[in-house]
Amino acid sequence: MSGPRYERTRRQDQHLIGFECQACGWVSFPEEKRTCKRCGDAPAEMTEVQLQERGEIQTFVVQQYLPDDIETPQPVAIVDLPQAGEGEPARAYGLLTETDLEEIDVGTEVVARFRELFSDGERPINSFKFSVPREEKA
Amino acid sequence: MVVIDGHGGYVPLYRVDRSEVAAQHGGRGRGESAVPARDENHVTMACEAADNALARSGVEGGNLGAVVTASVSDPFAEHGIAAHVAARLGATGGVRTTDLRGSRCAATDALATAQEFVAANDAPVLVVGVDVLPADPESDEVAEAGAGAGAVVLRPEADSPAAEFAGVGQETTGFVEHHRRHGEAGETGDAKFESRHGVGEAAPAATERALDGATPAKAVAAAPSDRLAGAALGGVDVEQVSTRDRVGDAGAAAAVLDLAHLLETTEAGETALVVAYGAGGAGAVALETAEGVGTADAKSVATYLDASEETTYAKHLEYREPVEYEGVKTP
Amino acid sequence: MTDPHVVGAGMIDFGELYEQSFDDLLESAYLSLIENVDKGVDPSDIDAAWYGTIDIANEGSSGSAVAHATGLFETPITRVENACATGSDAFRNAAQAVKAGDAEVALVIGAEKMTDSTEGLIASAALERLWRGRGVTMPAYFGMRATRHLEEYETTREQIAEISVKNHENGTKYPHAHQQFECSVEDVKESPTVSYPLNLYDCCPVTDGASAVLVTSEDRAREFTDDPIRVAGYGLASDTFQRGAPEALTNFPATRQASSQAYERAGLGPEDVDVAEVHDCFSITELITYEDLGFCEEGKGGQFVEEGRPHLDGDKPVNPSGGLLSKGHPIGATGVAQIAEIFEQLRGEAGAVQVDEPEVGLQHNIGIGRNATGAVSCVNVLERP
Repeated sequence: MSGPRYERTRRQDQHLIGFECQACGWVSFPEEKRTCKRCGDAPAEMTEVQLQERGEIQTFVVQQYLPDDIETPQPVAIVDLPQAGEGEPARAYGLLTETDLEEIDVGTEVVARFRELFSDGERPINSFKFSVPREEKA
Repeated sequence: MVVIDGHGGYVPLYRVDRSEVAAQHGGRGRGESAVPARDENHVTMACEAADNALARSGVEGGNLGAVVTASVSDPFAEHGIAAHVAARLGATGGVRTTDLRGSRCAATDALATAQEFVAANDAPVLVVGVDVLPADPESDEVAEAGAGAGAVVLRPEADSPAAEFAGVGQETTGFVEHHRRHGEAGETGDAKFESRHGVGEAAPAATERALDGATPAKAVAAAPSDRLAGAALGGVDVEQVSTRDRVGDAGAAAAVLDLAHLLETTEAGETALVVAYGAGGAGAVALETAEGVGTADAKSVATYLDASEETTYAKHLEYREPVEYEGVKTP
Repeated sequence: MTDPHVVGAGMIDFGELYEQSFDDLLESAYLSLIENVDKGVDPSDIDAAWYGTIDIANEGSSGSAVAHATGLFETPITRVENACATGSDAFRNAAQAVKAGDAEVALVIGAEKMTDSTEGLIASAALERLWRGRGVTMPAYFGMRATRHLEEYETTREQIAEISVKNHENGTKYPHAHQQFECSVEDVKESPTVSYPLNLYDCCPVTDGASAVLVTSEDRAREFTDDPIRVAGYGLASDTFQRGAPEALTNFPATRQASSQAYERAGLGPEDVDVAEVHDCFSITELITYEDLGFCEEGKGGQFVEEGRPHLDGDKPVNPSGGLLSKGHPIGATGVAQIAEIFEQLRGEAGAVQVDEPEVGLQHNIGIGRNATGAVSCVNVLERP
């Protein structure tokens, strides 16, 4: 059991909250940082920002070989999560769910889906994956 | 006055064709059943339905006074659903959370409890029904094991509510025929006996109390089987709205999911009836539909029903099971 | 201050060395070095050692593992771990200490026992961390650069595959290489998909190996050989795509930074490099690296290989040893082995893969750490004095 690891950023993980460097505009997600990964400002003035529940695929692969607890084929992407307001997006890894290779490309917009990422013991750890919008499956 | 301001449903993407189950298992095989993806659980499905309901209401998640959930399949003895849905929606702090379970009446109990909370506290309440029924290949119910979620937001008043509460009824009998242990298939008894002495004695009494003389145009009914659901509406001449052919048995969630579907597809100005029959008795809620009905502002149940992907009988079984990795159970 | 010089190198045949333990690998590489120093070396001459391994076999390997393998218990031995740049960074550390005058005869040894654990690196992709590379294996990490490179530039799938073809051909001529077979562009394209868009033949094999080199001060170099090779420059830097730079989606800014440090120290530029051993854990990695090291313009890596420039008979031969794709990638050993190969090339001892009288050689590794969120690159430049 590793409760502390998942509790530290639970608010960000479940609400897509980022932290924007006031010196350079870089957005940290999900860590609430005190230094800036881009401009190196330290201590950095970081302002909490809300990210949208959608992402734009920057690049991706479709995984065929993974341990058994991850179903394959598993598309995984680097996604940009735009801010609700003005400013730069946060850039993060996003697992895709219910999405096939044929449905995605660089630039495809995907929506955030609240899903079980894995479990800690028996306890589900829920956060976001991404998928093409459900209505596109009709 | 208590109104429904915001309604929404959720049905997983994957479906198993019941005829495919019948081909391997025998029995009847009409319709399809919803299969949750491997990365879905009660909390995530509840959140999808809740998001849709909140999108149609004037309420922010953070302003909810209470979250009440109903489920007959929550796999956890201790963990719960309501508090996790509330936290995901930003409803933390002095928010009442209640997990109702043990009978399909949990759905109508949740609506009744929410109505009382709204009336007493003048604060909005989210009601969510969510279920993933276990699929046991040894059981006759395997083909019908379904999954889904439904949600409604109750408020003291709203600019354009979908419905107004007209009446709530209950009939507690203590009668139990269909029953089930956690994670196992149900044990079903004599259907004729249950129709007559189980649902036949509980549902009409609860319905009569809820309707108080009104004539419903449409109704939804949650019960362990199609036959018992029909019996639950037996005494009333009404059009039944049901997703069961497409979703399968969605447990207590069926009442709220079907209610969302009803509110998306009905006209304003009608009487609608919600009946849930299960272990111990029956519950009923009567509603008057209003101008807020329809499918604006959120994904409709019809969209979820149509946007589907066929999956196999094997996945129907596997996706409901905890994931095992190197012999370690990781649900 | 003195210029560090490489005076000897030891190398074992890479492969699935089931018969050798982790300690055996270290011992073999050390003995190979001792036996290959032109004028010989007395172990008591060695006054410091750097040991590169990421300890994938999980044997609690530390500096003392090298003491156990060599008998150098009284000598300071430092273990270095820096992802796939481990071996090259161990070398860089030794070179720095010699340059500073703090060590005069330094052993650099790298080893990795890859085949004792069947799970290898794949299990780490089941990582139970949110937003931090769950599901991102090494082929996924590099494959993402391929997807974006194919999208953004005129790079073709065939150009990427050609790198694997080239390196496998070189490998058949290099005796220490693990995989001794040639393949065609079609073979690469038709091999099973590992992580779209990368296929099996785009990936390096799982290989055991070890290698060692000896680094001395300029003053003492000729005690060991009449033909020492000067360490002209080195660089090390990190990066992450999370910083948001667009080039971090197609390329490795860490390699650009590390190579510019190394070029600056050496007073040389990419145009001066005559032979290079670079990190081709995957075919796409080498293509990107041509660009990041300045061998060609950004986005032109595909054209660079299509024109045959990095081939054995090209004007900028890259990975004459067969690279990681053919030779194998025993992580801690990889960088040290590349130094050994550049040492051989600059001394004209590379046999069937010898390029035409090189004066300047470059060695490069790119490593992925912190759950596939960070990249670290190390570049070393060697020169005939």
